[in-house]
Amino acid sequence: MPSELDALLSDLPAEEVTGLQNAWAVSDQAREPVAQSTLDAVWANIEAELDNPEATQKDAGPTAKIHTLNPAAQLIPMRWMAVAATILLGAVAAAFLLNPVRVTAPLGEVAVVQLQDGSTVELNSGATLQYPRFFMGSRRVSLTGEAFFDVEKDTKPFIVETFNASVQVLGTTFNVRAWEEGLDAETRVALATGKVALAGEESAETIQLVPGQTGVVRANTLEASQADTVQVRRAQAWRSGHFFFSDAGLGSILDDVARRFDTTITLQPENLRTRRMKLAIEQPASAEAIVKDIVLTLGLQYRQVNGGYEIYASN
Amino acid sequence: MEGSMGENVKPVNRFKVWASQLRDSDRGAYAAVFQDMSAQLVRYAKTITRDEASACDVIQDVFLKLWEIRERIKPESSLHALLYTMTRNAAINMNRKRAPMVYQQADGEDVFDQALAGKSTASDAVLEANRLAARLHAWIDELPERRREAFVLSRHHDLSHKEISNIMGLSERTVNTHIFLALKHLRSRLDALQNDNITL
Repeated sequence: MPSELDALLSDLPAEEVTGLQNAWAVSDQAREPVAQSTLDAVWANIEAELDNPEATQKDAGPTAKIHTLNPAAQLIPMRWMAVAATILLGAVAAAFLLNPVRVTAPLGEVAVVQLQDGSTVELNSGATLQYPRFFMGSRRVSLTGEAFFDVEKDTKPFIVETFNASVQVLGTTFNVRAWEEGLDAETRVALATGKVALAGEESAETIQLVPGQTGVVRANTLEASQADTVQVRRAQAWRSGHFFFSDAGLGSILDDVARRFDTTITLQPENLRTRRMKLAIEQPASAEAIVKDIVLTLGLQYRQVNGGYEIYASN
Repeated sequence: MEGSMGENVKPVNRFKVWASQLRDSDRGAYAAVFQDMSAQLVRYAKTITRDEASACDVIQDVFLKLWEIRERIKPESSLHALLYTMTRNAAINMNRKRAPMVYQQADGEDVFDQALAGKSTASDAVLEANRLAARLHAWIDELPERRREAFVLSRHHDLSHKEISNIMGLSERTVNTHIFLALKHLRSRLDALQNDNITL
């Protein structure tokens, strides 16, 4: 025991002193080890920063980018991009009038698409929307990934097709999430306002959703939740730069993070992808901020690897 | 049951040499200081930030700062103590800056709270409950913040009470009291454990 305590101990009964000495001795075992690999990673960052400060500034790119996901700052430039895209289209329109348009939101960014009928579609990072330049008959678009639709009222039905489902509406606002790859391969529609009909590609059945309801199409099932406007708001959390998953596989979550921040995240071992978790993070500043939260919650470790992150199980 | 000799011997001379080499911008000495101190500084930062990833960020910042100020390191002051002080300040700053990570919504559902609860190390501690080290961790965690910090610096960093008082900006008397009360707390936990006839 430290000699500084001698004075305090001198008045105590011998038994008490022995007890404290024992506590001192035993508590040595609570030293926490720090993995050498962790320290190596820190050192690598330090050396990189000292040797090439500009390069590491550039590495901070995704962090800078995410601020643009704040909708107030983001949507205006995005509209300008839409305008720019429109002007560009004008120049080459004649040749391609009848070809459908494909728009993909770049990784690390969201994009807004204005359709000819006045409807708007906000695409989450990496999502692709394909639509005809002019709607004739029905208004039919197809979506890969996640998007929020604000559909103008019209007598012509508006139909969103995904890899396994179709959503038919007249005029409404709703969120569609339809990533085909991975364990959560499903089309998930969260209805904010209006009315939609949801049908699985392989079933004759159709369900009607009312505001607040979430409908999900998986391999062979078609189901709708109880009306819950909170869930619908959460489904749109990405539009404000938040991350919200109420119960999702780690794999799907990390795919989302990777798309949003334009980075790569690998899991070691791979079967960690099936771990389910809840995650709610308010406007995370970087992919690393989310990765940190995840490893902390699940008791895992992570390290930086070239241009991305690796999450791994300790021991 | 003292720590190993290597950890108990205060390598004052080595630090003096490193300090003067650092003033001459010696990257080798810089690497040697990192190799020598990074593990324990990460551990110390972690007692304040409570998670290792943030603690690593803190240490990265501390070492970058150290390189920035290398020419102004005073020969007569201790580099060893300087690193502890810098680590403490950086870790406390990080806690201040850190935005609340989990967002609350007016609807009062507790999913967010659950997400928060998932971050607690309590569940890990329960899993390892049979191991004394895990119990000790939990007991040390029960201590009030500054008492925990003072105790960890004393027990796991082998610092004198005078050094701790300098780093934490407390009087030596207060440090004595913190360490004494921390030991009493651990002792009472150990007694309770033994009275329950649980083998350690």
